[in-house]
Amino acid sequence: MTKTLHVEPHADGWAIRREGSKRAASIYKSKQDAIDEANKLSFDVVIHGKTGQPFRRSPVPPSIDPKKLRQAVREVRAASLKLRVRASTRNQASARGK
Amino acid sequence: MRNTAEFRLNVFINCPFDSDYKPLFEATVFAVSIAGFTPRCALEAGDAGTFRLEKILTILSECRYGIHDLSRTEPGAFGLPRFNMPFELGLDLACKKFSSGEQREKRLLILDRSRFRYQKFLSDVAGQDIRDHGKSRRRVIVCVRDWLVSESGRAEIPGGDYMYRRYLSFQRELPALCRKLRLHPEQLTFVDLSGTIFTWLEENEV
Repeated sequence: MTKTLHVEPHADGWAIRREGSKRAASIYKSKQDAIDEANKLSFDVVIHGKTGQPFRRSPVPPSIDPKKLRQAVREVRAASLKLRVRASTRNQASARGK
Repeated sequence: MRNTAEFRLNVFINCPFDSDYKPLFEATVFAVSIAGFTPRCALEAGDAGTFRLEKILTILSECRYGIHDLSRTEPGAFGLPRFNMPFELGLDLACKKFSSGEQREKRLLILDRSRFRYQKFLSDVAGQDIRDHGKSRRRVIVCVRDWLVSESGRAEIPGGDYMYRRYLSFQRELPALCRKLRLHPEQLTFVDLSGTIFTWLEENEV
């Protein structure tokens, strides 16, 4: 049986903690590094937000390759942020023009 | 052996799975996920060798929370209503009543499209937690969120309006995401939708 791991905020960055344990098993500077490491160690990973809010993975894994899915989410997110920055620059420019 | 920690965070979603209802189903899965719970439903196990009822009973026994949407209890294509949703609600109520231990902690939310409509076809459920969503995604998210907060006592669950804004952002990005994965948004299976929401939330928290 795989052990549930929690990725959660820590005073020194982000920690991986085994469920049932109070102490962090390891600490990382970035949340992403902690997530990547936890995913290597266990399928059952509970990831907490900056405020400690956890997100829970379904017990049935998706048919989509998790790496491809994560990559696609990052790319779409980056593209949508770029569009938003462009739109806001355009709005500022048109406001200045008025 | 059942994991009690998992039981307390699993939410069974019993609702129609047709294309008309899909936006409300997606909104429910998103609300459950962003609140920090695990969405579960009969669609998650594609094992043809398992009897559907057996599958539903197993999932029901693993979930402390149950969301039962009765809005499709109306005459359908063959002049008959879909009875699956009221039937599964009955199973969940019986599970709570006649089981022992943690099953007695079960919490159920009954949703319908309008207030008091259930009295015309299922008046026996009067006295349960019944809320109406008016077929609105925003209302579904707010209903699910408010109910989870009151039943779980978890104060850190974000507000309904915040959840709805996050849901709209996810919906905006979903078509592009599906294009990249060579999938059609309309054909996303429950486990793929759930996995996509999980990864999206995770990435957008970083």
